[in-house]
Amino acid sequence: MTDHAVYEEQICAMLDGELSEAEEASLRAHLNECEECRAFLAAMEAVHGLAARDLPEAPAELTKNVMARVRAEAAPEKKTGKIRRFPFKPLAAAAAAAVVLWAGARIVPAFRPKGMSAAAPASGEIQAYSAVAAEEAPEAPQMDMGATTNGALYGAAESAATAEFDAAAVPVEEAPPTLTIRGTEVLLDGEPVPLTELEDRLKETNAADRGVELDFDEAAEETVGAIMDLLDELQIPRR
Amino acid sequence: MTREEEGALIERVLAGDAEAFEPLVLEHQTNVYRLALRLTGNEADAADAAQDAFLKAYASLATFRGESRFSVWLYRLTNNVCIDLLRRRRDAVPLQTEDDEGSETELPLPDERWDPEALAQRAEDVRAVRAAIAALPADCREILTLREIGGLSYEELAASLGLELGTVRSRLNRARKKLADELMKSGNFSSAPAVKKREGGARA
Repeated sequence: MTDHAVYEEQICAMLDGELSEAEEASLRAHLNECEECRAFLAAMEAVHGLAARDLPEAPAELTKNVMARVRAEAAPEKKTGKIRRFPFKPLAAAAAAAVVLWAGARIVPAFRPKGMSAAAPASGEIQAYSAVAAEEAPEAPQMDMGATTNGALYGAAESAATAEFDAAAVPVEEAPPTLTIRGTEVLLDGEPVPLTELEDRLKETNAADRGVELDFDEAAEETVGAIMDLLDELQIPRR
Repeated sequence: MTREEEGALIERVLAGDAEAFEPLVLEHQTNVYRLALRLTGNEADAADAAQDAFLKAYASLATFRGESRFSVWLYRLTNNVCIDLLRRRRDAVPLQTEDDEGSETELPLPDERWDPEALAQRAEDVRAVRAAIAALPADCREILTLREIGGLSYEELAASLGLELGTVRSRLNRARKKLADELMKSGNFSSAPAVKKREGGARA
């Protein structure tokens, strides 16, 4: 195997569209003069793309099964109780954009899909897999919405809040600030706060001890979700 | 789906909108499943692996940086799921990972090692193709399917598989040559022009 190894690779790369124009020109020049390489090109053309050909569609139930599990995992995260009482505005594209700030933060924690069991039978596995996986769904963080104790700890799943909790926090008598969401706008005690500053402001106002009063009457759904996650992360109790 | 639309959906999922994951699944389920099918070799395993891949993607969506294409991230995840599945099934039989530094002896290239017409003919036989791909060494099968089903560029392949660009080229080349070899092995070519037998090679 001499130079032809290089030409072979170039021929493959050419068929994959990965050769620069210069490389391709030079290869074509060589092909004009080399029968062996022309034969190789013909052979490669015959097998090119073969791995992707004649393949079936995904099974019809695949998406259904995936979403069934996804919904089962998401449901415990949905903030029940208080949130359901508030009428939500329909999703706005702007709301999604506003939430991008937290894209890096964990939002879907504590989900451990079950791996394949070595003993799983060969047929009818999709249903069996879903059922077994559901049994093993880990407990979602429990939110104690009615917490009145200052600094109440929420049951957190392993991958949940990373904020450190000061177990020795002294109870504070101050009235909690009001956190209002109007559409995608957030206000702290009536004052608009940019989402980027919210975390700092909440820390400044010692919200972790005082808690916050929530006003989500006109809130866009996603902003609510993101705010709730932030509150979880900072371990701020709702009043 | 454009990259922007995909990004918007991902952000919605991360904001807590589980339903936004469904269009992502629908968009990629075909390729994820087909990848899994080639990598695991059977439909039951492929269905399980595809499902597991999507669930893992959902669980770890926050780790997707958005620097690479979402599909690349997802297909790499799918590849890993398949590798794990195969490992569990085959009781710690180590995956073949022949390196490209010439650890295998390359046969010299006779002029008629592969007859393009015969190859094209064999390529029509879906089962022969399936068997040929299954017979490839694991690293060849992996890179070939990621390239052809996943549509990863050479650079994306290098990044995803942790390889040098040169290794990507040589491994893909090796994969296709082996594929051609396997295809030729799998048939009798009484109707095709005479093909030189490979040295020491026996017909299947």
